[in-house]
Amino acid sequence: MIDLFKLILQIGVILLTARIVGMLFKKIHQPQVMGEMVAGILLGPTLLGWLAPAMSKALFPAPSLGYLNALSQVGLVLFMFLVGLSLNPKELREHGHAAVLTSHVSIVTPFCLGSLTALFLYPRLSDDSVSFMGFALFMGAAMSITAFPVLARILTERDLLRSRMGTLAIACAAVDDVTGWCILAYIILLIRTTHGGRPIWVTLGGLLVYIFLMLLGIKRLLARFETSFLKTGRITENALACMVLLVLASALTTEALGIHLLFGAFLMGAIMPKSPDFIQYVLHKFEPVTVLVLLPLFFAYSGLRTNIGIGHNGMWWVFASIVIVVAIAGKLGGSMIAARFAGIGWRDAASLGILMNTRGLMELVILNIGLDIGVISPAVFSMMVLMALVTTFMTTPLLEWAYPVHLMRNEVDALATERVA
Amino acid sequence: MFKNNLTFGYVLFVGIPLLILIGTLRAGADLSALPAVSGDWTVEPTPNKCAGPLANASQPALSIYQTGSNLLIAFNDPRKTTLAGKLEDGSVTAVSATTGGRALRLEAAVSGEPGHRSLQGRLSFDGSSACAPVPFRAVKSGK
Repeated sequence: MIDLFKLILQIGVILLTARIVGMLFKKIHQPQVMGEMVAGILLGPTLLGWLAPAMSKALFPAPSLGYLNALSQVGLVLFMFLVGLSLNPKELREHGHAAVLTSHVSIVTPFCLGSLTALFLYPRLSDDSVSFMGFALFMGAAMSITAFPVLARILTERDLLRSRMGTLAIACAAVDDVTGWCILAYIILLIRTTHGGRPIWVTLGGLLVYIFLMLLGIKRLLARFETSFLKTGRITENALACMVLLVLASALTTEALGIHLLFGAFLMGAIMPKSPDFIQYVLHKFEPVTVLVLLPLFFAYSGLRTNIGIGHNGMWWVFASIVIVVAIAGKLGGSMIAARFAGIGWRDAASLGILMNTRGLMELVILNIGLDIGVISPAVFSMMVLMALVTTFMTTPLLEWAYPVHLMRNEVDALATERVA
Repeated sequence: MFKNNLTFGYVLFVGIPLLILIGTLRAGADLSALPAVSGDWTVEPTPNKCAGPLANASQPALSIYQTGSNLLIAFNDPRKTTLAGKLEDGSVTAVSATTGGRALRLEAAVSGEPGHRSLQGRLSFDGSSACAPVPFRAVKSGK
């Protein structure tokens, strides 16, 4: 039986904390979403559970967390749909070789370093319920992810979307996102099959049929939404409801196939028509509830599973530091060197590396999946959450250091003048 | 020129790391991890008053939080007794800070495969002449 009073109280406390901490983070030039992530962690055992354990237990008793989780999963499904919706394959084509090489290196290098770290961490932090391969591949995937939405928000807030480096970063992050999710889908498939799920050929066959249907059938149906929008300038409520139903159906299909429901939601967004006005309209309709209400619930649910610092011994901090250093070296270093190799100047290459190192929210999504399927332990989960926070937090100050806003604005203006000429 | 550079870039930055990845996965295949003991444990009834927190704990009587070899063991008794311990060579050794002035010690051997794991050992109070060590057996309630 749902304790409705408690659930509404929890949602109220979470939303209030998320807004307050989000605003405080904005004051120190951090993206609002970073503050919301931290708010979630503050509500968990890291702060509230440590300072006021009785209050923490009364507000978030273990049996009540299932409802919070269910709501946050619905939020994530809608959010992944919006992430897929915001992806534009054209952005990649326009940047050619530099973007392709940089994005591939920015995945492969941290992936490789993450797996190498697993050689050290597996005997110390994992247990025999997980195979080394599952653990190593997951660590690699978790290290190589880029938070496309957070990166886009940082670039927008700094008015850098029109800069050469900004567009290149968006293109690379788009490739990273698609590749990262494909790799993760494979890992989940691998782990679920080794844990006695259905045979892999059934899942792969089902997946092929599903993708075929999505690309050849559903994509055409979705084009009708765009046509109707371009004619009338609006989308009817029935059409919006139909869109939500398609997202849910796609999510359920990938879950039933044994991957994860987020992949279905992401793919549905990715195959949506991409005319800018249409995308803006759909984002405008779905974003407020998803980002303002449902995502903070996900942050809080993640925060309740995270325990950073308190009660950990010195070794925990050593392991966490190793994870953070490896993550930064692989992502920031790998992207920067590859971009430089592709002929981009040092300043742009460094900025690109810094931006690609932003993991934020997407990392939390992946880590929660890892914890749910049992491939990482709560301790590794907490370390990786800390890594996600550090890499996201460092983005804005490092970017300001590597490429100050006034220099970037000059470049944007010069580019605009060049285009006019 | 750029095409050659690009090919070289791919070999250097993508090809080599991929080879390292394959090597890592092969090298790690022989690694063994510690037995998983994290989770809730059901302890077979122990009405003995010398069993300390186990005597009046409700099931699942034990919760173990594992970070590699470091363990935090929490009893589900009214006093919420906790012990800090280690998992070494398939054996758990844990000690509480104090329980009514006497330190509680748990020593147990881990056996069984993942998913069917059990603990068999004893609980004792350091320096207590009135109570002999109490044997117990616990089985894991789930992951």
